[in-house]
Amino acid sequence: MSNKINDIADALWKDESERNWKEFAKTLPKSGLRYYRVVFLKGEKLKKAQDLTKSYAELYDAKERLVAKIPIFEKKGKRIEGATYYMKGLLTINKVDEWVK
Amino acid sequence: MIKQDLNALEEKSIYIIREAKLKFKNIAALWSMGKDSTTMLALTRKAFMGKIPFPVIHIDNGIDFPETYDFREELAKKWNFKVIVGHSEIKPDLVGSACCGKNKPETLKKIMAEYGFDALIVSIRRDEHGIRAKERYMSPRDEKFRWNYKDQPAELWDDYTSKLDTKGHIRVHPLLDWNEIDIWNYVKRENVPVNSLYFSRNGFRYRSLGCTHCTVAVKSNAKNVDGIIKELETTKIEERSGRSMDKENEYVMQRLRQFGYM
Amino acid sequence: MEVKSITLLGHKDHGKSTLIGSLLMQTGAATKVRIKEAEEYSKRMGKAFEPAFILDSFAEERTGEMTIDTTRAEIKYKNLAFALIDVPGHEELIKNMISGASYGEVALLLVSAKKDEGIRDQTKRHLFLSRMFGIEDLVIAVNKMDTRNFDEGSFLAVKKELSGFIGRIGFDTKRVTFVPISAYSGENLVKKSRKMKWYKGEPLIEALYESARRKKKQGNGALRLLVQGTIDDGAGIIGGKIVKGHLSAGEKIAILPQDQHAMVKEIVVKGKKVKKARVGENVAITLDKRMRFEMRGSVISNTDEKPRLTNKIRAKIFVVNKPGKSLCLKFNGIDLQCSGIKILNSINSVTGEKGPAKAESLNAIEAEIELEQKLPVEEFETTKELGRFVLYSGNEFTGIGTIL
Repeated sequence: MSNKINDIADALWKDESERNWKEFAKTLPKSGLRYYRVVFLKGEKLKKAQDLTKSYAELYDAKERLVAKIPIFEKKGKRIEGATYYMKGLLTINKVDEWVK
Repeated sequence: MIKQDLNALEEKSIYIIREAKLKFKNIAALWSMGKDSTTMLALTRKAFMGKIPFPVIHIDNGIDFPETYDFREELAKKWNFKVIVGHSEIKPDLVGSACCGKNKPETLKKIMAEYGFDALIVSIRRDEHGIRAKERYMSPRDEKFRWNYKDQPAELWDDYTSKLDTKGHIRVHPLLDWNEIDIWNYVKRENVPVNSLYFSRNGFRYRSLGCTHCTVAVKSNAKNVDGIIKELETTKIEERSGRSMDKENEYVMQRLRQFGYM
Repeated sequence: MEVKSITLLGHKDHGKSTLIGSLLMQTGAATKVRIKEAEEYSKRMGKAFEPAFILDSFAEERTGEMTIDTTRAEIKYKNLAFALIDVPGHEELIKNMISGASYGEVALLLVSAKKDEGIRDQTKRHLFLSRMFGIEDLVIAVNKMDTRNFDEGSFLAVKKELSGFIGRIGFDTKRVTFVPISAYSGENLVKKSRKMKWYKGEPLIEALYESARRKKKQGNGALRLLVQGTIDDGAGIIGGKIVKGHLSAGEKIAILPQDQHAMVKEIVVKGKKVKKARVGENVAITLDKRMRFEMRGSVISNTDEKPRLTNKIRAKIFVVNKPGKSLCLKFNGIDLQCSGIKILNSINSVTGEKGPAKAESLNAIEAEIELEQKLPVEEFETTKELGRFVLYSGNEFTGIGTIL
């Protein structure tokens, strides 16, 4: 199962297209994934949509094991938009040990 | 934090929400999926025999929490109301938190113009931030959404006399008198559905919700509404301390306000 | 916890914000964040700690050291919470002052005992307005006693000067309490001051507590339900608020000014069907017949104790701006054109004395107003909600009135 998600994650890293995101959302319910964490690099501030390329999301399973990392934006032609909507169904993990602000 | 009489707060809010609906021609409400604006919807249902007789607007920057999107769709279905989603862009703004800044009112402006809304219900509370202590129950904004806080119309007794004499709109604030703890006590008493982000996971929870990039979780073990209430009864830390925006200079907050944010 | 609104009145330099700041600290209501912010700000301004900075949030306000708009702060004491509404002192912001004053149940007036500060015209005007708005209980804090070495003489001088005026504008002197304080150094606010042993009364917060607990006039009486409008056209459900009396299902009622009678079929309060609704409740009612007219602004009463229906009202009006040619009256949620106004006499808001029949800004008049249609009204002292109105000339705020 997680292989499938990793395939889609790879596809997303290559092309953050609507098609790949929809595929991700479709796969999510049966993926065994349960939690997510949004990470952005220390010192980086979100100033414009382009900055979303500097952040990503980690996906965890029910036992809080890291399964995959995915981008957090969607390419719409030349524009970049946030894509957390596609992660609907996941819950925040709030893991403290490597909390990045 | 002062716990107020929920029945009195409820009556006042119901009065104001009804007043907004009956006084203006075409109203809408802002809904962030947070506890305050969801409580406002619960109060609206009490005011209008279980219905929500106006559309609610969600300004979406695309990076809200997945839980928030989930909650939006579930509740809209359960309570049967119309949601207008406005997509805002991420752009630099005055306080450096691009996601919730100046771009949101721009999107809101577009929606207000498109639908011709003349009043907008916004669920702000006076205790959120010092700057909000100045607000009225009904407060005019001009066509550029600016708030002329120096020359607000008189607001007397129950007669929220705001007159709309510009091309702007009226902001209606039915929750102005509520404190954070009142909201939670009400959520408990009335079983108001709330976003799961408010509850603790791995020792952290969100006390006030922005988006995934500007909201920082606070340390907490409150796993349910009772836990949150207990926690609030002892805390001396302000609610929005978890949101990077509010730590910024108050002068900037004031300017933001004039630009129509909040 | 029951919250009592306290309107805080007084001249801009007499220390209102300082008082709220000190009270917030002494009662433990100020958060650490706020206190720290205020400390930092005081330092940046090159000053000793100023309690007012705990409260004020607007930058301009801090630098100008005055309050721009109505502010609210909450303080817990015993079984009550006081919502202190700080209203701005300067005259150009009278609209804001009026708004703040109208929410109060008790007024707290702050007067400075400092040399050359004392009682200002504006202070008296504030008192005049709060009495006009129906405030019956008044606490007068004589502030800045520290600048007078906590001397009793300066306290008595202020007390003497205000007492006559207070009686003249209609306060019952038994419901007025004078307390000497120092907001800045925190004397006599929550604890009895050792520096003013000559003062035998209670500290300020206790005086407020006593005033807030005193019974207010309004409450029982014949039913008065103010209709906000039709909340469900299809089902013919009417929404409104009971400001006096109670309403039962099955009861016969009168609707004014249309003067229609009907029977109440169903009452819903907060989404639940009830047999009886009480004062203060927002109701949704269904009648035994459909009303074809616009219901907003109507009043529902018992059939035998209706409010007076008239198009001529006699009123006391506090004038903010001189009335223009066309005068519009806002009453109970609706707007009405006035067809005429006859000024009977003026009342000086600073002396409380009657004068010639002319309207002057910031003073009051007694007048007869003729309206284009009949309204259900009552004297302000009987039913506040049916005895008060706002006047406009075009878009210009003219003043506020109470029906005599």
